[in-house]
Amino acid sequence: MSALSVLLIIIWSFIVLPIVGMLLVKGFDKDDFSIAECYAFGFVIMCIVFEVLATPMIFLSVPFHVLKNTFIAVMIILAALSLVRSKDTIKQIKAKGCIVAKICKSDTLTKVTCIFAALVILFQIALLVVFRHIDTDDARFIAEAVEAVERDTMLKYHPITGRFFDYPIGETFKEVASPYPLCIALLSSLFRLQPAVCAHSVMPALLILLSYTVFYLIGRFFFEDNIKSIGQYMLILALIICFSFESIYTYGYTLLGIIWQGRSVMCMILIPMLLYVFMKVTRLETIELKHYLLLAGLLLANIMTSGMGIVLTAMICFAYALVNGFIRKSFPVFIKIFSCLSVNVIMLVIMKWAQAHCWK
Amino acid sequence: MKQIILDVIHLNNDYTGNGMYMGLYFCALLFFGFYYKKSKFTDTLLKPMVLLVVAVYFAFPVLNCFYQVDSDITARAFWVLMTPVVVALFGACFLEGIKDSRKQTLALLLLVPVIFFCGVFKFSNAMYEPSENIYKLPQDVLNICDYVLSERSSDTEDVNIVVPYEIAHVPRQYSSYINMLFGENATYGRIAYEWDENKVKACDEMITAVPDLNFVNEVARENNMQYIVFNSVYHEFGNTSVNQKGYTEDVNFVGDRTPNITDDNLLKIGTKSADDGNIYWNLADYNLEYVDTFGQYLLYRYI
Repeated sequence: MSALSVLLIIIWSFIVLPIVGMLLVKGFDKDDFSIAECYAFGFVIMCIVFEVLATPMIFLSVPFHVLKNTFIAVMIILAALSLVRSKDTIKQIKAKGCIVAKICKSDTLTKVTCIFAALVILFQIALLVVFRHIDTDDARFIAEAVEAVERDTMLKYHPITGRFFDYPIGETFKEVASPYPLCIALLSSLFRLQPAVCAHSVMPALLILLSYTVFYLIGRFFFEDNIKSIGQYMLILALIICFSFESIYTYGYTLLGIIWQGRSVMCMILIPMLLYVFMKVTRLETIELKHYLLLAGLLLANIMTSGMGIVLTAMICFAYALVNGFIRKSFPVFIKIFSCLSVNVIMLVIMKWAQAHCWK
Repeated sequence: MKQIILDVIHLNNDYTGNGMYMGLYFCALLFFGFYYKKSKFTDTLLKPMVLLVVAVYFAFPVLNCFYQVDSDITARAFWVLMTPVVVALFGACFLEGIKDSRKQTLALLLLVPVIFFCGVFKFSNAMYEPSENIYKLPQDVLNICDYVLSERSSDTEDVNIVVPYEIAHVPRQYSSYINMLFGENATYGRIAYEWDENKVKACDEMITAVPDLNFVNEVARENNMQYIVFNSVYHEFGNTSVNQKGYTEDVNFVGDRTPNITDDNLLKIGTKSADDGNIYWNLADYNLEYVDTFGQYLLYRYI
């Protein structure tokens, strides 16, 4: 891996994403935000932008480089917009202080707990960066990414055999609505890496970190400034994930086996993020239009990573719509949250249309 | 009704396997429901999770009565419950209730064996192998890919290759210019839209110990294949092993190794020695020219 790739990984992951994320954070909650929140919301924006651009471009058979360049342009514009709009946000984040400083000021037990939690998480990252776990489903996902990078086409070849069809074929029709493999292609192009290298060696580190960032946000939501409880929660969570290999569907296998695949990103990052936003929305006095838009955007981000997102996020959305309607004793709130599911309906129609009419 | 109950049990078993984290999850819900009654936890966590538990356990089995839902989807529906997060929150809230810091430390230490025994620890050599390269793919197979790609007359030319089923997932992760006769999951319908019974039969032959080369070659030539790869660990023509360096069988390997021989000549194939000392099967009678040995794999060219 070249020094340029390392630099690009740092720029895109740790500079552009948090800057772009500030846009949503600022709109969502004016007082209570952190750098972790910016980072997580930055990833959500990236997924939304990618989905909005990729699906129509696949329909229009646009070359992959057009998608890549448009994505870069949109992200740069959003980053610039965010910097202009969020000058005081950076000051506020600085004033709040970082979590490490708070841990340093805490008692010994808290320090030890937090250090152990960090060590378990680092062990998990190192496991996937140093060692190799082969999952044969990559034959489809990574092959689609390789096609985009090498041939500059999107879903034109059968990923498993390489036969040219000129349209998505077999299971790949799902990728029209959930083009996550092309997102791997995009990231590998941005990082100047081959897609298999990007997916197997770089993305695990970034995605595991992102996953624990979202888990931390959930912990912070419940325990607020109680660093001791947050540390204990993170340690218990990290240990559970180490031992959660009961079946191929559980969290341990998903995070520590196949985190680079779309469904794992949905399970370990975007579903927890959706739950986190729903939790915050549930505690708000009044839910504004921007919150509904954010929820709809998160549903879209989930669907970008996996077709299963259509069903799974609908279940979550329905549950929180019911709870919010019940708590607030307001049927309109239930209807408004429920109406966010129109995103799922649209994407389902696109997927079914692609399957039934467009490509046979 | 009986069918729905059975479906619920199967669904639970599909997801939880031998683990007990779902048990801890239900304990957590009871804890938040009856003991730790903070409105923040009740409104934002408990109530939605109870609804989701009902949906996950009952929606799909009921739906199954009318419409067959893929078991992969139903088992993955458990993802909405966020089991580790809820259990970890339960653990942290439980510890928060212990005021004495020594007792709290002791309780935290006692939680470790509980987590251990409720889950399954799977860090093993079979699960995580030392990686040979930054692609995290078998180096010998990448060497084969490099060789066949280097033999092309231009960088945009395709190369067609038949590989053993156990490595069929690798080449197209490395280069989209490598086309294959069959790929990963060939036998489960992922090539359904280009379903060709002969390709699937060729795949079935390649996972036997002595593939019927007459048949495989016929299908390969129909599809303009240029190379074929054999695995010295699993293939054995003429009852002669060419596995000189003693490569061992993959513990994860699943396949039918029954010889399915229709041609007696396959049992009489002899071996030859290459200039570099490698021994290979002489498949000249089948119009296959030996190219090179890459670890446990032997590459042949169609002539």
